[in-house]
Amino acid sequence: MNREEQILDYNYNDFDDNALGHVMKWQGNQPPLGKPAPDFPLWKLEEDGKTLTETTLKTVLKENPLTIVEFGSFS
Amino acid sequence: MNESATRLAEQGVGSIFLYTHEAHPGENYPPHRTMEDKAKCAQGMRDVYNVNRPIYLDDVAGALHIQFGGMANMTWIFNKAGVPLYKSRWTDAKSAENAATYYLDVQARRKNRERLAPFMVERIDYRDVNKEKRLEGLGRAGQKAVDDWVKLYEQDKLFFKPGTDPGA
Repeated sequence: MNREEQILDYNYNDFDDNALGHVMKWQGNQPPLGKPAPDFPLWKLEEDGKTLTETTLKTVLKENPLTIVEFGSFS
Repeated sequence: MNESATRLAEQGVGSIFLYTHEAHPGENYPPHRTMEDKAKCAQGMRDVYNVNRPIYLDDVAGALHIQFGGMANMTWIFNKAGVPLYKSRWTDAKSAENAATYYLDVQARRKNRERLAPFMVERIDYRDVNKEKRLEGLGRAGQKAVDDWVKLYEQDKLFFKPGTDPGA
């Protein structure tokens, strides 16, 4: 898939069987517990609600001895 | 999670919200096509639900979210070295706080030079299920979000059942 197809695939239009079985893969190839996870770029949503400041997951995790990461969205 | 995050912050535990895709896209919160779309929805969530934790956006194609399992509202806990210690396919404040408190104790014991070795543990935790509240939240995203959810709910496909996957 090219970049545009990946965006459309991940940001599906319908919450249906495809979303359950295709995007939500809990038993997939997740980073294992107990070993350093791969790093990824992240963008911090600043207080103005518009500005995005680029950082990385590892940079964020270094800020505290432990970090709880809740994944989710409005919907 | 807001109250839990506040309590844990006093003990040095960080908490962030990692904004993914719209799991239940609706008329008011449609699927993202750009980072600007995603930022707008994330700010809407911060305004409506008063999220008190820093909000970070994953890439619009979901690279991080997909790698970590792609569940709609999962929680992971990491140590400072970026090592995941806990993962939960659904977010529950009591479950996450219980785990974080345990790991704080482990860190304190290590500072006291106790010799500790890691081991794997699996468990089932329990979360609140409130259909009316869920539908109210989905309704804010739009009627389509409600209709899609109800359709799968009526097919009994939305809740984890031991021995099955993916569930949600």
